[in-house]
Amino acid sequence: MEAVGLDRSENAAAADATGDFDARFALVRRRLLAICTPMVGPDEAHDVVQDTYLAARARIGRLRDPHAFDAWVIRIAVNRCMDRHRRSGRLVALEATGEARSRPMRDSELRQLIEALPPRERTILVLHYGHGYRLGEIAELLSLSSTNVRTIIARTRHRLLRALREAEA
Amino acid sequence: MSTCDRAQRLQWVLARGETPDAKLRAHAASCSECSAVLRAGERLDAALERTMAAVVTEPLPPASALLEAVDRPRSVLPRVIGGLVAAAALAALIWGASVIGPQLGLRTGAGSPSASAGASPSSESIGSVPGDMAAWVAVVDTSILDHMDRHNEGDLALVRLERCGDIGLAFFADPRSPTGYPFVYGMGDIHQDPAGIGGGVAASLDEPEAAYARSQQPRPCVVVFDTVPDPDAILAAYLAKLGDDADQVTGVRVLATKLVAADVALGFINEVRVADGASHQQIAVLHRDGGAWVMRGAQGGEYPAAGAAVGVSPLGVAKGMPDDSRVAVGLTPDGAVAVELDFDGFVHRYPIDGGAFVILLPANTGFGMPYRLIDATGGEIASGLSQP
Repeated sequence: MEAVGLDRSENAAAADATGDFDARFALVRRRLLAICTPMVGPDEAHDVVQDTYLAARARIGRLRDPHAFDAWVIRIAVNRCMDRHRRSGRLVALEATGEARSRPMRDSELRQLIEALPPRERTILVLHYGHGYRLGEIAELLSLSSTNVRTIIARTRHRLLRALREAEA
Repeated sequence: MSTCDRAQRLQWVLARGETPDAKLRAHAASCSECSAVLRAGERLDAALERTMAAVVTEPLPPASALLEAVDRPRSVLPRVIGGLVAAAALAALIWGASVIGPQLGLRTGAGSPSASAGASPSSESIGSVPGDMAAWVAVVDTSILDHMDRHNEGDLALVRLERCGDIGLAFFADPRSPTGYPFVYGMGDIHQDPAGIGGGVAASLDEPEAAYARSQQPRPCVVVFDTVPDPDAILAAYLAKLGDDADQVTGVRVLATKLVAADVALGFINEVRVADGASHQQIAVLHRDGGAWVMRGAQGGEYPAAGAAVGVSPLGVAKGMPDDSRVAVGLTPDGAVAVELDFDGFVHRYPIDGGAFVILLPANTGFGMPYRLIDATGGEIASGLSQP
């Protein structure tokens, strides 16, 4: 349901905001790419940034605090990263290479496993372990319940543990 | 193949970021499998930190900054209305307090339900909580509420109870969940305190996670109590939706039903088309409207014949599902009590009752999954690859 319409002064402000929106977005674009790449991978990150541009441009008139522009578009981008899980293709099974090892799994191999995670799991993992966000903060940011976030992290860690054990069995 | 039944429990403890208690640590000291799990857990924590430090090149602002960067509020209906509707629908669906008493047994054969006293006319209860599980279920209920920081905010409602030897799997519906999938569960040894290490954990859970939890149990899981949409109510909703087209079909029969959320159900339906005299199957998506089920959409297809195979079909948002889901259906030969589907890296076992099943799957599940049909002894009746 759309809000009851903006008054004229707000419309003028919205036009001004849109006018320099492209310039402001250009300043934060590179940062958005760097933030989204660990969450969805480099190719998807470009799509996410484009989606974010379109979404933010459509909503710029509704931004409550213009000084929070960067934080606002980052928030949109992070949620777009989460949304990729609804559009991504077949789930890639999280498996080790299957080759027996006599050594612990290297970090680069674990990184490959993480990069194979679905976008939802990967985004939450990066927010928690990469950026130190608490579960409640992640839940509020992504409009999930804390219980849901806790479960997703536990399930993802369980998968990674299983892969670690199988690789070193 | 795991040789220690505590290894999986330990793995989940570590997965949840918890510290194994002294008893489990003492066991791990003398168990090669469990000590390997412990070592893997320690390596994972350290490796996650190092890996994230390597991949995260751009720091985010503090979480508070993102959480404060919001739109101007809109003029919308209060969210509490949605919650009240969900709570009312749940109250109509659920039987109320735990039913304690001797196990009555499962329903046998499609279309011959045994509704328990007090159940809503649009749902039915199958079986009851066995006497030796009643206390555990009650404590798990309280434990889940504690875990969710939901003291004094109303009870959860038991929706399904499974027993895997001495391991119980209790599913509760949470009327306050914003996601539309209110099931939370507790799992653990029914002879132990749920708050202890063997007692189980409360977590929101989707069906594949539950199926994985079942597949890890040393004994097969049996549904001892379940709440499913009443096939007659689903049939009424389907015929109501057909309206004037109802005279184009005869012999409409609900083969299987599945509750996927407090107010969303699936129906696997067979009908004979008058035009060609042949049987056709439909998968119907239904939503609760007040006290009755209303059909939102149905999808027909060339679903497998009895005992032949498992069929997988996308349902999609357009069919009234909250996301782009997939569903597996099948007609099973006599004696099949479970179907196993292999996807997402695990074998997921689902109980069957009545000779047919309809199962909700994650959106990105493949169409061709290895499957097995299992009998009551755990033996394989049939196997193959599911069909799109």
